[in-house]
This record gives sequence, C-alpha cells and structure tokens, in this order.
Amino acid sequence: MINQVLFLLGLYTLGVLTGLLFKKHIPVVFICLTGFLWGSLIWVIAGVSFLIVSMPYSALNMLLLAITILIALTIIHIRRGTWRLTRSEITWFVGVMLAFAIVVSVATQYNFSVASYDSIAQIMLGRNIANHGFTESVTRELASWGVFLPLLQSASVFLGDGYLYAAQPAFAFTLLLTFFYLSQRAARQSFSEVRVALALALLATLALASTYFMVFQAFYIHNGLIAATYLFVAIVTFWLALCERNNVWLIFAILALTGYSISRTEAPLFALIFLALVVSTGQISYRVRLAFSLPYLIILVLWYLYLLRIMGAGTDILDPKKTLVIIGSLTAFCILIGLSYYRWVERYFLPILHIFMLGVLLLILMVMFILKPEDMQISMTAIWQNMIINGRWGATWLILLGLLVFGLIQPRFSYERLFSYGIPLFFALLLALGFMRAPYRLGWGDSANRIITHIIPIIFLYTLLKYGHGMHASIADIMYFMRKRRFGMLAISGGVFFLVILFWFIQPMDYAIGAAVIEAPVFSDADRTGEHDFSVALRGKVDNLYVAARNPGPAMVILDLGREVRASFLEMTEYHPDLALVDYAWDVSRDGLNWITVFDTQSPTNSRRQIVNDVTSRFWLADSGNFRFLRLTFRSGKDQNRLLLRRIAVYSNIPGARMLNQYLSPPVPSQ
Amino acid sequence: MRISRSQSWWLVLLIAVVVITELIFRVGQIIFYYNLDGYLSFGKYPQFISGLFLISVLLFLFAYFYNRFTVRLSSLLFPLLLLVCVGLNLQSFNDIDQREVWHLQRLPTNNLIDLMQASHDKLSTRPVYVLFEEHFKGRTLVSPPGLLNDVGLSPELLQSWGGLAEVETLVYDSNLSEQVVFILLHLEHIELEVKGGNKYVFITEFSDSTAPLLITRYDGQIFIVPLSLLPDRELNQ
Repeated sequence: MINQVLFLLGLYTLGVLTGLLFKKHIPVVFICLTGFLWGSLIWVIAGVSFLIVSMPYSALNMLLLAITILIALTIIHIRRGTWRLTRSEITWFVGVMLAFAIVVSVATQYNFSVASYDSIAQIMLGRNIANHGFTESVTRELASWGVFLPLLQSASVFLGDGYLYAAQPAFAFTLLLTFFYLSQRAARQSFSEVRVALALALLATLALASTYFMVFQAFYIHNGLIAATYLFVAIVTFWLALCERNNVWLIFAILALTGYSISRTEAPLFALIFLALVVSTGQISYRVRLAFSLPYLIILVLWYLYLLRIMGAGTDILDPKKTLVIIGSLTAFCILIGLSYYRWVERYFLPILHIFMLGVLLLILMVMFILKPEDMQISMTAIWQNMIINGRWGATWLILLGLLVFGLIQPRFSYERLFSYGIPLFFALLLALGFMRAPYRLGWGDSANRIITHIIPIIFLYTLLKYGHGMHASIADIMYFMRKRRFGMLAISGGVFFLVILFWFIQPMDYAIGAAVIEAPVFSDADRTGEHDFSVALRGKVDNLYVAARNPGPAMVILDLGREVRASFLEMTEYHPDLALVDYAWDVSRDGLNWITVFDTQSPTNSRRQIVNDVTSRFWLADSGNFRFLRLTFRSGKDQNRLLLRRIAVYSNIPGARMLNQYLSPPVPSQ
Repeated sequence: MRISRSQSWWLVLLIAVVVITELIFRVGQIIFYYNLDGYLSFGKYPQFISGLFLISVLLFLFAYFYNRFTVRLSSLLFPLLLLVCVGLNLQSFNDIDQREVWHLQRLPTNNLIDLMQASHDKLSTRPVYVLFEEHFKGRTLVSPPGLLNDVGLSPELLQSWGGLAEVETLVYDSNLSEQVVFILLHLEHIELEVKGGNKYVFITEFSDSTAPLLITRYDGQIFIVPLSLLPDRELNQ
C-alpha cells in the first residue's frame, strides 16, 4: 500500500522537476498542479521505449532510469539556477504535493475502485507487459486499448500490488485542480475582473465535480478520465500560447496531446482536429510549427506502424484498415505542415483549414448515412440519449447544450475557433467513428459515452469564456457583433423553429415503450446483462439486447399499452434469421377478452405483413381500429424452437399514414 | 449593472413570453397526446421538441432586441444555469448511483481478486488466472484431457496470464476420494466462484515448489492441488 503511495508521489515529483525547467516562462502553480501528468507520461514513454528496443522492462531498470533522470534534472536546475524558488512557489509546491499525498493515501485506505471487463483486460495486459514484455499476445491486445493505462498499471507488478487503485483518484484530483486553475487563468485572459473569473471558474468546477459520471470515473479503472485530463490541458495550453504569445506553453500542449493520443487507439484522430485548428489560426510561425508538431506526429506514425506490423488481424477496435486510416491522417497532416512553408498554402489554405475540415467531415458523414442509414441513426440516437438520460450524466449535458445554444448570442473572444469548431468537429468525428464499428449503444459503458468525457471539461471552459466575455464586452464589440451576426441568429432561430414544426408533424410515436407485460414466458440470460424480463424488447430502437425464452416450445406474450390507441403498424425485430419465429400470430384487443387477429401464419391470407429485412417485419394495424392489448402467440421457431426477440414497436399514425396505407394496400404478401 | 425602466419592462415581457409559451406547449401537448391520439402527436420526445421551440423563441427575441443590455442579461444565464446544474446533479446523485448494479462501493481489500469479484461484468475465468499467477507462478499444471476446455481455461493464457511454466494434458486417474477432499479442505486453501457457476478450490498450503499441480473436478468443484500434497498419486499416461 505504501509502495503505491510512494510510487505515485515519485511520479508527481518527477513531473514537477521536469516542469520546473520552464519556470521562467510558465507559472509554477501550473507546474505544481500538473506534475503527476508529466511524471506518468515519462513513465509510460520510458516503458514503451524499453520494450520496443527489447531492453528488460523491470523494476530495477525503471528505478535506475528514474534516478538518472532525477540526477540529470538536478544538474540542469543547478546550472540554470531554476532550483531557486520564491517563498510562494515553495508554498504552492509543498501544498499541492501534500494535498496529492493525502488524496492518494486516502484512496489506498478507502478503495472505491470500479472495474468492468475492459478494466480487468487492461490491468491484466499491464501485468502481462511487466511479466513478459511485448510478446505477440500482448501486442495483439494493445490493438484494443491505448498503451497508456496498461503501461501505468504494469507498475503494480513492480510494487507487489494487484493493480494501481490510487491512480484514477490521482488523475481526478489533478483534473479538478487543473481545471479550476486553467479556467480562471483563461477567463482572466478574456476579461480582466479577477473576482468574477475566480467565481465563474469555481462554479464551473463545482458543476463538473457534481456530475455523477465524472465522479464515477474517478474510481472506474479506464482511460476516459486520463484522456479527458490530457486533452483539457492540451487545448487550454494551446489557447494560452496563442493568447499570451508564449511558445513555451506549446511544449506542455504537445506533451499533453501525446498523453491524450496514447490513451486510446483512436485518440490521435481527435488530437489532429485540435492541432489543425491551432495551425489554422496562422499565429504560429513555420519553424515553430515544425518544431512542435513534427516530433509528435512522427512518433505516433512510428508507433502505429509498429502496431500494424505486429497486430495481425487486429481487433474490433483497431484492425489494419483502421490503423492505416490513422497513419494516413497523421502522414497527411505531416505533409500539410511541410507544405505550409509555401506562402500560397499559408495564405490561402491554412486560414480556411477549420472550415475545410468541417466541410469534409460533414460530407463524409452524409456518405456514411447513405451507406449505413440504420447504423448511423442508431449511433446518433445512442449518443444523444446517453448524454441526456442513460449515460449517467445527470443534468450536465442538458445544461451545457442550453448554454451552447445561447452562447451563440455572446460576442466572440480571441481564438474562439479552437472551441467553436473543435467541439462540433469532435462530435462529428465521434459519430463518423461509429460507422467503422458496431453502432453505439445505450448505457454508460458505451464507448461513445466514455469518449464524450474527453470534451466535457473543454465545453465547460468554452461556455465560461463565452459568457464571461459577454459580461464584459464593450459596446463596440457588441455593435460589431450585432451587425455581423444578427441576421445569422434570426436565421438560426427560424431554422430551429422549422425543425420543431418538422418534428411535430412527422415524428411517429412508439406506444410499446413502457407498455406493461401482462403475460410472458420466463426469459433468461439473453445477453450480456444477465437475466432480464420481457420489457427489454420494449425499450426502443437503440438497443442490441434481446430476450430469449428459457424454455422451448409454445409461449404467449400479452402487452397492455395502458390506454386505447389507434396505431399505424406493429414492428417486430427478431434475434437472428436462423432462430426465426416460424408459426405465430398477432392479435389486438380493446378489453383483453375479445381478440382481433392481425396476422396468423396459419391463416390463408397473410396480407398484413410487410417484410422489411431478414429479421424485421411490419404488421399493418391501420384498419384494426382502437385497441389497448396486444397478444403474440408463439407456436414454434427454427432451430432451438425458443421465442427470441430483439424489439417490438407499435407506431402511431403519422400524417400521411392513411395515404401511405392506401398505396401499400394490399401490403407486400408474406413469405 | 443598472436596469432602466424600459429595460425592466422588456425583462418582464421576456419572462412572460417564456412562461406563456411553455404553458401553451404543455397544454397543447396534453391535448394532442390524448385527444388526437397519434395524429399530430409530439412523438417520442415531447420535452425535446418543446425545448427546441423555446430555444427558437428565445433566440429570436435576443436577436431582435439585441443590445448591450440583452447581452449582459443573457450572460447571467451562465452562473444561473450552472447553479441549477449543481443543484440537480447533487439531488439526483444518489438516485443515479443506485439505479444500476454498477455503483460506487468500498472494496473489502485492495486485492485484484476482490476487484474482479465486485465487477458486474462477466469476467468468467480471469480471476482464476490471477490466482494461478499469485500462488503458482512458474509451475507445471497437469490436466486430464478435455477438463481445461470444459471449464473454459486456455492453456496459452494459463502460461501468459497465469505465469505457469507449462500446461500438460495427461490421462490419469484424476478422481479424488471424499477422504482426500476432506483432508485437502483442512489445508490452507482459497475458494473462488466465478461467474458462470464454476467453483475453484486452490490448495495453497506450502508445498514443494517444483512439484506439478493437478487440476481435477470433484462434486462440481474444480480443485487445483500441488502433486506433492497427494503423495500416493501416480500419473498414468
């Protein structure tokens, strides 16, 4: 236990000593608060380097390396005189270190760690790395996870612990303090009132810290919070570098971006968005552009080439095709940086790079929606519903979305495009990534839901800066903004209003959601959540779960919709074509006693069924009148002869449904 | 910030419009929902749609009456909404925490096994590998044919994750007698029930570290026993 506290404190100290090399240009407070991030990053990069060059990755070697770095840092500090700290700097260093030590110690005493399958896989991978190095099986697994967390967790073997249980709380503590500090500093860049900046930063920090899923991730062993911390630090330090015209911030920005990029396999794509936005501002000279971005890009390209060479067929998360996409994107950006030497690129292309990226990404999304409309719709709805209901975010996203919408009427602040383009591009890319995998799903554990953790501190900061600027904007700013934006805002409000009308008119309603299950067979262990009842099939479209009757043979399901309805059609999605229902019937009733048959496989005329695809069928209800109860009589099925269903939906009439029914009547005959 | 008389009227008007619009929508929602029954319904997300409508009205008002005052006024939304956010989050915190099986709870110890046992995911045999690594690293495991496959253990993972030197499959008399089991259960041992139902018994009593381990099944339980603790047993290939 004490080993782990000392190890994490060691990383913190290593990070602070490294950061202090830049104390003449960067506030010591920032260095003290972010020490753990740099220390952890050094550990991970050193470990990966050892393993790649086939040096033994052992406790002794890592200790020797740490001592060597510490000695080297001490010598440099003495020679440069950077070891001399003022009283207030010492107070900050000691204070933050003490607080860090307390947090880590408490986390070891009160272990609230949470682990899912992913957590255990990454812990085991880390232990495997420490025990066997980068063997074939290890590198194959690395294709599923970023290298950061497994490498950090691998230290547990050297410490004699099962896993690092205090690392997540340490990252959460770092994120919270860094968020507060950088928010108030950024706010002071945007408007000068210190007290207002402090108050707004405190409020934003409280809102972030009160969000359930953020607290949960402080104990959940995964890469979400780690990535969020690094990305936040990267973006704010980029922004500060631009505003303060201080290139030293870029060093921390690029280090943080490296930490972010190795935390998840697809993270470099998100990182590229922000890097491109920084470059598009045109405020960084060609030499600086080369110096800060090329090493980062080259290291990542080499790492992914290394993975590509050894990953074999890869995994669902990262296969050779996706790896090539990442390598291609990184290489293309390298070339762009190189080409930006030419004046025509710098003058005509870089300033519109952000618009170009947004345009290209939207175009790609359009193509994706055309190619896989169902999957993309499921992914989009899953992201939205997770943000609002199922993702365990509480009220945070709803409030943030409201703030973002009303932020449109706030005046602009300097280099706002880093946020105003970065945030929509982030979400667009997140959605686009859903195309290359199984669609996103409902629930907190969905990877899109965890990835949006990365952007949430940045959105908080953006809204803070936006509204803070609005509080203090001069009349000239407002008048300028008014001239430029008034028409746009009126157009947006008109557009939103049009959307409302559109939704209002075309949105059908699924009456089956939340219907009461009056009768159903026993359903068991249908999917990954263990035992559940039939209501799983009534939860709406964005759900890959299914229900499976425990026993074979005949079964009956009766649903009560709660009130009499007139519906357009019933949609049934089965589990699999090989396990399809063969002999069954659908009936409806107003009172639960007198039933009207909608469809029966034993009936000679089965005209009410329309086959949508090999698992989905629709049964027309438009001429069934009002009904309240719905009955499925299952007699037999293929293979296991069990009742297996993914979803049942009863859609309300929509305007034009009658007209549609006329065209579709008689519907496509059943098979 | 000073508010003039005319500005305060605008403020009152704005609030009134918001409240009235919301009321109209709520009432409209009920009417459409229950009487028209499907036709012109608000659909699956009535709150979302009425929220959108409110936003469009507010945006229009802000755009139409855009001046320094409205900008200042709208900027107050930030602290107000954040306070609401903190309040709502704190109020719903416990509810969200308890809504699912995944919630924050203190683990009994800092051992990896406890973390795995507390997990609600199907970790199947992963804890078994951890126990092999913790107690039998570098040793050889002997298994009757088919047993490893039956219980879902992989020979490769037993070596990579479990740290075993070798995994051999041998045909031998693997049955344990009731008397032997009685004795074994009086030795130092760890019992582990994994998701899926299999119960493992690791006999961790001090034994010759070079002796191979036997894996065998008795009464639905899977025993992992150092061979040196079963002196009379011979391996018949």
